[in-house]
Amino acid sequence: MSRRWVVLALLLLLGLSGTGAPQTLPAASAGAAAGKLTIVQGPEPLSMDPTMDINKTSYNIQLGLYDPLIFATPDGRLRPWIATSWTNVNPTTWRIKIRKGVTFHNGEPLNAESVAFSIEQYNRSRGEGNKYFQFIKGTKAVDAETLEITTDGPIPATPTMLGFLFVLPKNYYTQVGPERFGVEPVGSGPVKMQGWQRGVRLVVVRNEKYWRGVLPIEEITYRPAPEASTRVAMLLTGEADIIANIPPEQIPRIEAGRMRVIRQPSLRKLFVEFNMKQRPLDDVRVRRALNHAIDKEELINLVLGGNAIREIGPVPDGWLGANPKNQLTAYDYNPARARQLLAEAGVGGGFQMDLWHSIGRYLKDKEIAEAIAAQLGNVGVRVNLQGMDIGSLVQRIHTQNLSGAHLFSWAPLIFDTDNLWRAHFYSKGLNQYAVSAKTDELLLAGAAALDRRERQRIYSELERHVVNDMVPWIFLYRQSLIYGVSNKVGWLPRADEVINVRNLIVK
Amino acid sequence: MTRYLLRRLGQSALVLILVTMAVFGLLQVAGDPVVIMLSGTGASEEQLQSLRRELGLDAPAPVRYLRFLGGLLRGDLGKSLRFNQDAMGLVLERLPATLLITVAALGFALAGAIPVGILSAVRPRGAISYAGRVLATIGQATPVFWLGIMMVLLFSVQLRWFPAGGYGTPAHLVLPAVALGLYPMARISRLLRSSLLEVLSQDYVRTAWAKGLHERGVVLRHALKNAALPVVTVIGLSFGALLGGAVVTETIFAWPGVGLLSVQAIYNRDANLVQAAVVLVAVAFTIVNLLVDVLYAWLDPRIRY
Repeated sequence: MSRRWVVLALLLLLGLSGTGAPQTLPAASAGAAAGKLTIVQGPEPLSMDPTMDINKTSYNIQLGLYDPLIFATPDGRLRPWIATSWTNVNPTTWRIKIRKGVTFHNGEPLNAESVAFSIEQYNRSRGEGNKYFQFIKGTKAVDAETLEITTDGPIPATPTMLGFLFVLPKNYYTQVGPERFGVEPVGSGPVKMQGWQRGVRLVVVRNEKYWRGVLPIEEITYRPAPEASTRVAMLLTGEADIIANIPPEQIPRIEAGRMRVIRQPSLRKLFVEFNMKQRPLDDVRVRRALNHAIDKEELINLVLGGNAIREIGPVPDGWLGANPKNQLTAYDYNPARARQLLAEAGVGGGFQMDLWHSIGRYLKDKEIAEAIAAQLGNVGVRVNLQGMDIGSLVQRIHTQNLSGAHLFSWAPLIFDTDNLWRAHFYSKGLNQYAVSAKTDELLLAGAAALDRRERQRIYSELERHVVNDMVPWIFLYRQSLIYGVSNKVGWLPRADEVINVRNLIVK
Repeated sequence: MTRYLLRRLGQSALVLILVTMAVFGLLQVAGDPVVIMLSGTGASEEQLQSLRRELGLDAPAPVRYLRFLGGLLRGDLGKSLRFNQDAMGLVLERLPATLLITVAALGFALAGAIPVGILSAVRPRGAISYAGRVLATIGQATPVFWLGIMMVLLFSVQLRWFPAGGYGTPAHLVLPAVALGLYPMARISRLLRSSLLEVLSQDYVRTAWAKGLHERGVVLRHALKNAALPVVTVIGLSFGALLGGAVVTETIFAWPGVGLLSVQAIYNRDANLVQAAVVLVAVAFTIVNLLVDVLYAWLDPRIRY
């Protein structure tokens, strides 16, 4: 009888290890050979079809596989890329010149028709990419190198938006269809797809015919590891060369293992958003008081270990509409002023307030919420903390009229200020907490102002209105990105969490 | 036996229907995937509505449930909203990894638990019995997330014996299997010990001794088979639980199993994928339970169905 057990168990094990072996890829030998890199991100990528999946994990890989039409960087600048020039023929028509001689990995030529198809495919998509180019009403390939697009009204942000468009191969995409394209993608970028064992690893190799010159790296492997301490262990053992999204408390382990820690201030802003329809938060004096009651420096230095930058207005530095700092009220930490303002508003005795927050989504989000609750407690506001997973929080924020306030965050995908306004201050958008007739009027005027200086004027007025008069948020900080990097990698990260393979060097 | 099996299969079908209702209901409470997909993008209500229509999420919940049941009967659980791939295919793709770690963990557990359990029953005051008790206490009291991280620190970072995470080679299997197997090992060894102790004091065992059989024959042939019944139950339960619930271990070791996939699907509100994963795990659980019941009859001929 015992022998029968053993045989049964052995058979099962044998059978399973057969099916469990990787089918498409050789065993991982990460980071061993020169010219090869392993990048470990938290979650796994979902689809390589950029019209379906635009999560950062996937986007980082897509940015290597494809070329954007125009190269947009987080400081708001645009570089000619696949498009060599773009001009406004009339307020609603753009003429775009397409670079000659670029081909996709399968040899298909990249031309104006590929770009027109890409725009249409984004707009047809059933996924997250569906939303971004709906403002384009018509595309016309005038000849192989000229594309004309017409927009729904004058939209000065068009070139910046097109920085988010990856150019897809029309023939191949139509031939294989979206489902297979998501797993066997073809682009024109510096790397091409080698193999993907979902949930395990995705391997790309360099495109030897890349139009801008061949990458110094031969092969890049992307692996998921949801647990941060595992990512650190993988860096320390040499299984990984770049690890993303490291919590501050893991930094000493990386430094003790003689690996480099790279900190990069990001564009991800955190703020506390008020429900301005409820008493007593409908009184601007109360909202100002709560801004003065929060010691932002303490949050940054004590809770985040210095891994954040204080922010006093919503528009990122250098972006259209950013005001000089002296134009915005900074709401410095001043509990006495906070108490005085509360007394003026008739709630000097304090009040109860819910604070909704996520757990485990943003850098130390739960601890930040607790610190905010303690600081507000000092001026008499009794905070009830309501913590939950980010999915539930986002649901509640957008579909219920959440009481009190919520600790929330925003990071741009597209580097035009219009996105920021529509995400939070537009009465027809998802978020309904910080909207008014005035924000609507200004953001719509700015969105249609073709003259850059006029747009700058309108947006800076809108920012001053939001910060100085409306006060819908407690303005907190922008959190930093923390990466661990092995000594053989040379790389500078970007503020928008993007890992651009074009900027990687292996020593 | 055949009638019994048929009745059990009928019951299982009913259980599956109830499971799908529960999952579907919970997903409705969990909310609208479209809101999460478009949060922070400045999308308008019309854009939300058109994406809902595209994804077939605009129909009322009962209609969508009936559609889902209809699909289930045809073996089609729809496409994952996020992967844009066949949901059942995505889950089945992870099944080998889940089965591999489940069988390896249970194999490790049994390889330790059976000898320790037998020896500590035969020599209740022996050194192995005491050592087994200490190990069992540690094994049952140590949370797997802590144990897993400690094992990574020691065996991967310090000693460099095994990789810290991932999947594909036998070396990748060792740490997660041991971390996951320690708890069932502790539980099974204690259970086997007490159950064997009870059997060893029975009359027929005394008869076997009186016949002049060797200790080996008495313990392994006569006593163990009867003591195995509760142990088989626990093994079956552990197997079922591991199939669906090795989430923590899979997360720590970046093991691409069904558990990790389901958790990510829940966070993404990927309704079709969650439903596919739950249905599959429920089916697997039902089959394992059925096998355990059949195994009873084989182990103990007195049991008739």
